[in-house]
Amino acid sequence: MSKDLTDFVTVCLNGVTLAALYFIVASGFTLIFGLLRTTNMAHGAMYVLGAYVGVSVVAITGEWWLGLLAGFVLVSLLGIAIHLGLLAWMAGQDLRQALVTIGIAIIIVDLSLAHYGGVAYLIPPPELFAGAVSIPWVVGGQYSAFRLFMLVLAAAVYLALWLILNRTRIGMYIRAGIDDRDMLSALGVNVARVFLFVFALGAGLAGMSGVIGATALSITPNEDGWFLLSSLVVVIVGGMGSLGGAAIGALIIGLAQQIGLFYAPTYSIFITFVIMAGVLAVRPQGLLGKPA
Amino acid sequence: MAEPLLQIADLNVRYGQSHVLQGVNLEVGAEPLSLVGRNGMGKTTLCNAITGLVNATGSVKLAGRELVGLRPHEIARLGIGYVPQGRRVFASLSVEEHLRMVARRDTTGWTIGKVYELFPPLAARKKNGATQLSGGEQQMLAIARALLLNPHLLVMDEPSEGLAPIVVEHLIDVLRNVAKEGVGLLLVEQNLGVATAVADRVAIMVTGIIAVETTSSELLADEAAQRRFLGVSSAHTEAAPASA
Repeated sequence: MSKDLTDFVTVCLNGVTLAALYFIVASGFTLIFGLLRTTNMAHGAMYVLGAYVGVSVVAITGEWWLGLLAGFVLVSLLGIAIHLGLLAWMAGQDLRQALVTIGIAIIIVDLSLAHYGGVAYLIPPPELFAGAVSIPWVVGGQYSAFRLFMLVLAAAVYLALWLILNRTRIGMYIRAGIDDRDMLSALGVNVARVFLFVFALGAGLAGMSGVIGATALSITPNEDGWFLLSSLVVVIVGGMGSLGGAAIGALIIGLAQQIGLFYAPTYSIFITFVIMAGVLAVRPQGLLGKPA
Repeated sequence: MAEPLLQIADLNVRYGQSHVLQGVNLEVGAEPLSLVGRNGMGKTTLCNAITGLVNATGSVKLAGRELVGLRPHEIARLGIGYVPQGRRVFASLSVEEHLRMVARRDTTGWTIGKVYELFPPLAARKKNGATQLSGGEQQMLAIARALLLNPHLLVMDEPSEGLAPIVVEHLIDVLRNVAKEGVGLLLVEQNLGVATAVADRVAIMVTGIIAVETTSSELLADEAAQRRFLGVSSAHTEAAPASA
């Protein structure tokens, strides 16, 4: 196979596996925004915190899966504390919530910097996926097994969220609440509790994706901005509150970034935002979003 | 003496500078009550205040229990079913999901099976998305999901709005049947024909207060009052409302 073609296949594979990570990060973000109308500006910081929880837990126990679980659970608990302690008191006040979550993000990131320093940490992948897989048509004929495994993880997260949304009672509440919160409460549903569940779930997903990201890429404290921004772009492109939209948005942005980075590195970030601006111009509710 | 089903006393709602409800006093008993009035008089705000969706001061008592200050879901669970203006069905949910979402496990009172008996078209379309239904079917769905709360009182805001005349006829039958089942009814209507066909008692709202309480037959006979409070005559309202 020609070098051009193997380059292209490798770049696309990088894009798709990066999209898997973006999807897991953005899935929590889109659920929180879709239902609570809260733009959780601490979402990227929750990713960072989850990553460091993963770093420490894996360093102590040597178990990658335990790190993943701890990233989900601890950041989810933090999400519950943030929601009950702060955000629930300013329900419906978007600007205050945005400012408060920015403050939380700064605190999380600075505490991470104080404790872990500015050096990059890399979490060793689980033994099963530590090596490379032979794929004849990529550069060098080998590809990281963990990055391929991220596709499985993203599919599992998608399936789990789909089942929660479509096959459970709380899932019905979440979908109905995204459509019309007031009407849902007038039907006897305690919307505040549904909000808390979704916020905890979204925070947990951010924490969990931090562990995955720190394994595939690496983690430094200042990465929160990038993942917050990516989540925003993914969700804007895909459509707020839509799971399928987050998946499609992640795929488009992941591929665009990797293809841009390889073929036109100067314009890589530019391409991402051109896509976002284009979607906003033609379909402001996002590709799979419902008109507001 | 037994408490009235719903007793509203000196109820006030302000949106910023505008004083929308200016001391509403109203009682709803076992018999249905229709509330009529022109646009912008505060009818929908009254519904939202009863159901807890807007903040109000004053008193709303359901069988003696104070509702002002409670959250919407608490009010709903105490027994007020809300059928809002524009129906507000959930676009992401199927017909069946709307009903399962509200239905409780106990089989006393309204069940999903029973509302399907009342509204056969819903049973035929249970897998459909709610927004695929016709306007009349969406209205049935909005009533059905409210009934599954086993409410003591249904608060309905303009259920006939945007429905074809033949569907409105059916709606009147449905509302009479619901009332016969022992559910209290506060019916807000622009359509005087519907309002007077369903309830014998009619209250008229003017700029945030209940101006007149009368009976259907008296209101239908009094064209001067109709013009004054509603800006219409009954000959006008009997005419078909536009179909959506």
